[in-house]
Amino acid sequence: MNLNRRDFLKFAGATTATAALTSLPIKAEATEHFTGHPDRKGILVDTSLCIGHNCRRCEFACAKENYLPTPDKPPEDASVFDQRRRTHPDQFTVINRFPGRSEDMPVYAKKQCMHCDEPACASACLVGAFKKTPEGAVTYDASVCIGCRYCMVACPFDIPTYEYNSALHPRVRKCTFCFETKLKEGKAPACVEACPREVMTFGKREDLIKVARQKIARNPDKYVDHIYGEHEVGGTSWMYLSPVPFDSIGMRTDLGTTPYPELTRNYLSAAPLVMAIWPSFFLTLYLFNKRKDQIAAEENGKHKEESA
Amino acid sequence: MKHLLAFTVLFALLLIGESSHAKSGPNNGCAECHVCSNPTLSDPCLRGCPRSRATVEDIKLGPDRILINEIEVEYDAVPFAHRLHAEMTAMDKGCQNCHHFQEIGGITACKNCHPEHIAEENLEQPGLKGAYHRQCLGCHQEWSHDTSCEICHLKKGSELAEPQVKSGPGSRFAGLNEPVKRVWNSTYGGGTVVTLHHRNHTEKYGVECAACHHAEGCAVCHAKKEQTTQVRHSEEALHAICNSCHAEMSCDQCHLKSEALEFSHARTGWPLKTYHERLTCRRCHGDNHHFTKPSTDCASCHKPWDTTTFKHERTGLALNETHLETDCAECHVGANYTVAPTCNSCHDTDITFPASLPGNRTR
Repeated sequence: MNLNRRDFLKFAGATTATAALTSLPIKAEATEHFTGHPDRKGILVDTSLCIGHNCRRCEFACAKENYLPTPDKPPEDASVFDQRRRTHPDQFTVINRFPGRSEDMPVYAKKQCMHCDEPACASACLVGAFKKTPEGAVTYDASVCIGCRYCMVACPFDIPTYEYNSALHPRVRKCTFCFETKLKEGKAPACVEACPREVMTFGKREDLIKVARQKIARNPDKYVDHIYGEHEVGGTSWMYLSPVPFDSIGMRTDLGTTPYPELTRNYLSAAPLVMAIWPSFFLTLYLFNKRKDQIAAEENGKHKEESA
Repeated sequence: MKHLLAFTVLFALLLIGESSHAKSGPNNGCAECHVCSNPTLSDPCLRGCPRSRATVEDIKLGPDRILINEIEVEYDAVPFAHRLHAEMTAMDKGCQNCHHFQEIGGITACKNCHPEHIAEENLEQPGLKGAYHRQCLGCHQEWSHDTSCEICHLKKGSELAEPQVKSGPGSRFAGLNEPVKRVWNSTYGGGTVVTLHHRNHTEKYGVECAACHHAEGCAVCHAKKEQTTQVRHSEEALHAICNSCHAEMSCDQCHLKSEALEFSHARTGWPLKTYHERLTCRRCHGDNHHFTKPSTDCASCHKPWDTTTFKHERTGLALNETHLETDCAECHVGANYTVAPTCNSCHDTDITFPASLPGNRTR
């Protein structure tokens, strides 16, 4: 058989189709939606209540709880709000200031790990260092981490940070939801405990959604009609209410509601298949053709000899 | 028989209690206090009831100072100047400004509803710490942005004294910067300029803030930035406020061609000197709505007054030793203290008052 270009394309198409067809059952398995651990805890942040300046008690409480250095600038120093800050290996949570409805009433938004229901960091991690616990926290195990920092690329909220200044045992650092010290025993994290105005409410995630809905319904003028984190990237344990649109308080509104792991799951589930079938198939095809050519050449040789 | 009697009395009492409860509700409508249609004792499903605006008298019944010390952790108690805050709420919504939930028959303290820790079954209700801070920091943030803890909290181990918040009427705390006067330009056909000498009204005439200012948030007077606050009222509201005292005045008495001059007592033909100038009008003219002409006789106010106990230095002139022993009538001839004293009873004509003084001026 002499394989021309057209035949080759037919073969390749058929193989890909077969691969796609055979991967269908895998896909169906992958899209079986994970509804999250029942009774997992969450936190509702009502940004309209945060006073920010002269307080930042959450930042200080977080540092104390996680044995991190005390934040450089004291609470009464307003210059911390001059630029937008992000999380840092030494600071797992930061408060940023954003313009509010009027110049006099800015909005202060706390930033920390959102503890996604289906965390992108966990799906990107090669060694499974990240885990979503049944209590709601996304935890990190430094003992298995290989330092690839894929988690940092994967996170839609830019949360994990890396100890670049540590030469021997650099770790990925992020908010822990105070899992080991508090959440495990059903207690609220240190930042929530420290907040004087109870800006953050700790409780079962499903209850918090109800509370948030009630708050919006009772004060429609006070809040934007949206619970940030209820559906974003498939839902997060930390959720936010805001008096101004969320993109104006530094929160991404282009993330969609699909869990990040799901975006790559179908594609990645086909990868082993392609990796396993394509090489063997093409090798067979190649060997088959080679043998055929060889036989043809031999026969041709014989024929020539005979005719000669 | 005894049991039956006791039961009957109890039943009657219950009935009375029930009926008064039902009647005491606003307009007798259950739904105004109860959210659900069938409230029970175990689940009364209450919501914050609307209440009528507290009067100034109601406000005075409240406690003067409350020591908030239920949840001390880092700091000592907060001595809260309750009366002062209550009086200010007379300019807004009254007690309801803070006591947003009303039980029938009285004012409910924060701690009666808000638990020390948020209850899992009622996550919407803030805990006591959150409730206090949300109330206080709502205003104390809006004004000056000074939210440091020690403006309210006493430090551990410190003596119980007033917190650092400077309070008291007339203090210019938290950006309160009362205007000296306000001038409006009206479209009235006669004079177009209306002048209000604001500080005269509050300091001299003794008009209470709440007499004019109703339903205004704290930040209306306590501006965040140090500046004279401009309260904006509609034309109707302004007329209503002025008319509450000046109803009998004609339009042309307020609407003038040019700015009205500040009230001067000298124009009444009775210029006030150092001491009397500092008094509020009501000290001499009484608490009447219309000020009346008081008697020009000093004794009409200065009672009891007699020459043996009178301290002359109060007039601003401390007499020297010689003159202290002189009889009043020697200088104040005919006991007429409204005219300049004479020295001629004892001295030659070259010595006159006030060129020569019988002592030293004290002010």
